[in-house]
Amino acid sequence: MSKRLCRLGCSALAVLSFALLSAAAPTAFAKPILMPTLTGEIQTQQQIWS
Amino acid sequence: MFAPAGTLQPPAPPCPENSKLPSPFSNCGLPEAPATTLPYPGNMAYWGGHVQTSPHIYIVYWGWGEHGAFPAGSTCTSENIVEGPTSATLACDPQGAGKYMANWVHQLGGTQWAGEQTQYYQTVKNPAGQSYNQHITNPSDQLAGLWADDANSITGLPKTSATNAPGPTNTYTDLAAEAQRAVAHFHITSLSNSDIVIAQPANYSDPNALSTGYCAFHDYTYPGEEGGIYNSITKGISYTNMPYALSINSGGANVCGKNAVNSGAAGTLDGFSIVLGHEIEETATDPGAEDIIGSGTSTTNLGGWYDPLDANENGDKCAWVGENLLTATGPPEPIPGALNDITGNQGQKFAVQSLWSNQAAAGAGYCAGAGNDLPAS
Repeated sequence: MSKRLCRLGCSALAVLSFALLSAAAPTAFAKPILMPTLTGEIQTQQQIWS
Repeated sequence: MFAPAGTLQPPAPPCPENSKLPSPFSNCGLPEAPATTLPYPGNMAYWGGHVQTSPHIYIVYWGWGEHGAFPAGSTCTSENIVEGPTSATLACDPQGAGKYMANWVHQLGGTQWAGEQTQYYQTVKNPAGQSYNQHITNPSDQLAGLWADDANSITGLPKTSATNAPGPTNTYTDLAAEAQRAVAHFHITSLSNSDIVIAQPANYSDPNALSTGYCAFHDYTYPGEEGGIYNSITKGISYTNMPYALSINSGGANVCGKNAVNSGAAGTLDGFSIVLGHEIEETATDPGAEDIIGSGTSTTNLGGWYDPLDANENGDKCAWVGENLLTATGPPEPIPGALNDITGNQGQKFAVQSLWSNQAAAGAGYCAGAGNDLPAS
């Protein structure tokens, strides 16, 4: 499940997960901030609202 | 007097955001399936890292004059781009994308769109040790330099991969090495306020973009982190990977903004300003790119502003808002915060996405700056 799919139904879990990741797992891999393609964004939003 | 039993219809419960936010946020009930892409709601938080209080944007046209940089048959004539005190000569710019990006960066300063960045800040200490907030500014010209670099070959970039080991065949290492060369070329002394845009030509564009599903990205170099991809690079360079937007196509259609706002030839380059604008504004507000350095209980957050729930930055939260979910084509749906044209500070029109504003919607936050903001309450 992507981080965005979680935003509607499990925000508390997202907060907890993000907090744990922030505290315990410094970035160990390439993590650039991406601008999604249009098709990628549409697929994500369709998954969220379906 | 009481109405007969069974006829009394209680009013709907209070709905304070009614008419202030577009559906599905305004119906105060279960969400409806939208017909268009929507923002990712929720305000951003400050994570303690620096911001770019005086943004300086440098565009590097890497390899635009190299043999084979554009499809065979492209019309290439030498083009001198002059933007105020900065200039560069491109050997080839067949679709005008290089000139369009330079115009855009030269003209975005002082606009309401770029002004959205001024609500965000960094917290620093004065000489007396007292903390204060230093806000991002919106200077009238944020284009600090142009460089057409055909001396350092780009032909290796399409052979790189984001998953290769750190080094010349790793895409991030390769792009950051060019950004480092640009820092030397421009004699940059303030990395914290600089954004190095590595703009690539059509045939030598980042090979990972389509397969990974992105149009561009920004990142921050920090040796010793991120698997070592920046171990050979100077610490603290904020750079933007700007592939050639018109080269990112799927199923016969461009997926990075061609005609996202404007129809026909007028919208061919829409994606270049939409995508580059997204990265520029994210770099201004989060130049540290959410990096967390250190380990265990001793970590430092280099990030500036992003959403604590999903880590989205000000551009991510409003990306592609208004695009039709069914047709995936423009023009955008007429909702607040949708993709739109804005006017640059010298009168040219540019297609943009809106940007997340914590101050919008009476502090609830919404996408703003694209000329179609929510009505003021």
